[in-house]
Amino acid sequence: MVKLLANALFMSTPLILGACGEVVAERTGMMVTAVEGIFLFGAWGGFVGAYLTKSLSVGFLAAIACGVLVALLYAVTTIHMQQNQVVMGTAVNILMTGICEFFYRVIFGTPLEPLTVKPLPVLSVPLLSGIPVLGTILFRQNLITYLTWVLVPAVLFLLYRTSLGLTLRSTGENPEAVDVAGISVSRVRLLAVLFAGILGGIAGAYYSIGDIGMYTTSIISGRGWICLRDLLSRQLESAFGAGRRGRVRHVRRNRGLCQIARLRVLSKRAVHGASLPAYDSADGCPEKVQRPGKAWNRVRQGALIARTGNRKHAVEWEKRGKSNE
Amino acid sequence: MTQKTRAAEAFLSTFLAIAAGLVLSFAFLPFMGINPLSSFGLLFSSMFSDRYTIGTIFVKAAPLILTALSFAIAYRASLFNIGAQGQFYMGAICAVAVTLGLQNRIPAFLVIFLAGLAGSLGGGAVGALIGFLKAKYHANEFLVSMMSTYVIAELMDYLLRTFLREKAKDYLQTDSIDPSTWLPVIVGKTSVHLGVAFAVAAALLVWVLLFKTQVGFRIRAVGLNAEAARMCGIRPETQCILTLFISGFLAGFAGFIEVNGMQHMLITGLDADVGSYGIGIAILGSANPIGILFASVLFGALKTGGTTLGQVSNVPASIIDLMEGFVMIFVLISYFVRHKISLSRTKRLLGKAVKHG
Repeated sequence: MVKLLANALFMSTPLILGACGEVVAERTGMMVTAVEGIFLFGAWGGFVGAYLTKSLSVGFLAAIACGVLVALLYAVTTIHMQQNQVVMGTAVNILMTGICEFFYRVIFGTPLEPLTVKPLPVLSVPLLSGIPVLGTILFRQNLITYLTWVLVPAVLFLLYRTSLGLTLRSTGENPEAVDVAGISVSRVRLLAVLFAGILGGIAGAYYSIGDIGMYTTSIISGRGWICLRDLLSRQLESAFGAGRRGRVRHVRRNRGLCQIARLRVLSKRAVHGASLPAYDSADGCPEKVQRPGKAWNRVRQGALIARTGNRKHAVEWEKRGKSNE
Repeated sequence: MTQKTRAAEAFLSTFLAIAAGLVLSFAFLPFMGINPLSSFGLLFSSMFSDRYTIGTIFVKAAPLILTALSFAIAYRASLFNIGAQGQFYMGAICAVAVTLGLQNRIPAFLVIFLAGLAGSLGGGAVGALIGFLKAKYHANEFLVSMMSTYVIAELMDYLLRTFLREKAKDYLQTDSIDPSTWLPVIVGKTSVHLGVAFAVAAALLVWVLLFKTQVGFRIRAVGLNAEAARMCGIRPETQCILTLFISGFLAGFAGFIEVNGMQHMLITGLDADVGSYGIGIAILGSANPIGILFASVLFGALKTGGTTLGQVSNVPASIIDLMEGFVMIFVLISYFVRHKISLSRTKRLLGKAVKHG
């Protein structure tokens, strides 16, 4: 059980990373649907960098560069050329599948055995890792996992406690106002998407060089989407007026658990000689879906009243919200 | 500006975009020490090498037509159904289950009919469910449809491990269905089956539905402005469920023609990319059923040519993804360029009008 929890934290790291980037981009009104492509290219770039230089830090830097590159392509076409985000995301994802596979072959040919690098080492925090249960779970992780723990409050702080955060959020909620205030909406959005690219690149590399130490074409297969979904399920929570990162993080940890459980089942199956399914995404796992029942509606309305200060306004606001969706 | 020149412009810019995408993806080949020009020639010659290969183009295009239509019809209602893959699987599951259950018990044509119906309704049910969640609970249909794909893929894997597994129990697949229940081949010496004709007919039907009927008008009205539609007495909620039902229906039907027409069994990971290609094709054809027909044939040709190219030369098969990705991106960029050009033209005309009073 302890092992399971520790692994859950380990596996949820890239999802948290990806979602942190997504949340910033989403707050500015961008939905980074190219996240699959960003993850994949990050995983590819990270592996190539780490394999060629035998240094994981170079790998992660390369992954960041790759993630930013994809994000730039996506940002320019969606923001400056104003193409549809969903459609562009699909196009980028398909293109990245091709590019990664193609250049993997250009660089490495078709090796008989999978090429590997040494994955991220576990860094035990002195003293703290000695605590009986918690120590094993919390303080025997790798560097990136520790960094995400800092990152989450940092992003939270950035979004809600700084003027930059205010700009970011305003860009999503009322772009005209931001424009009138003399701030370029497209530049804010571009930077936010690039930020998502940086974090997405690291997250992708976490799968290739952080976790298994090699690259396969199906390494991401839907995991980028998980981030996006986490984020959008947060939209539901924001109806509470308090749906902030803490809650999302909790949800995501459960997701990590499911993923571990699933991987275990898969490995068992593999041991018993059954073939692995083509889909190894973690999405088949059951999860708690918030059911909008009666109580839900009451709570929601309560939150709206709290937000708008007036029942009539709340009803009106909700109506408008509905028609906007 | 007449409609004719506008259409010509659209055609020309799309053509240029496709050409640019192809050229760029082949420009990568020298990295592997392969002559791009000869490979480019080989791509086309292998596409049209013999009757059978040409047939394959259409066979590959058929499910793409249907999944693209599935995306396009939802897109017209400004809904994003990116779960065509899942609905496709659901259609395939239903079709194969019905066929395996009823074959050799009732007349074959009836089996085919029922399998088609079951497949389409299965896909439609998934679509309608997504629509229902959207209409009733304002769930984000983009997200629900995306995730439903994974759920259904896992469901398919589960069924392939348990109830539908082949008798030999070797692979994750069903028994192959009885030859009498295969969709008949309609063009001799090729594998072009009846499903291809069905897919083309579906495109024409969707065109009529969208542009010549009340139902289509309502769908488009909701897509253009849901609030205005509501004022006119069209309920966007109902239209949402209906649109996504039709959308899922088409994707489910694609599952049926792949099972009964092409694969003759259900295997795990069947056509794992028809959904995402469907989106690309729908955009390539600017969500117009007739445009989709041509775009599907193009993608079918690229797939066929690319596969053969990978077999006869040492060009990697990933060139297919490269080509398709670049073509899609360039087509999207061409929309932007066209928009810019028409904007500057309007500006110039306006300027002239102002000058002359």
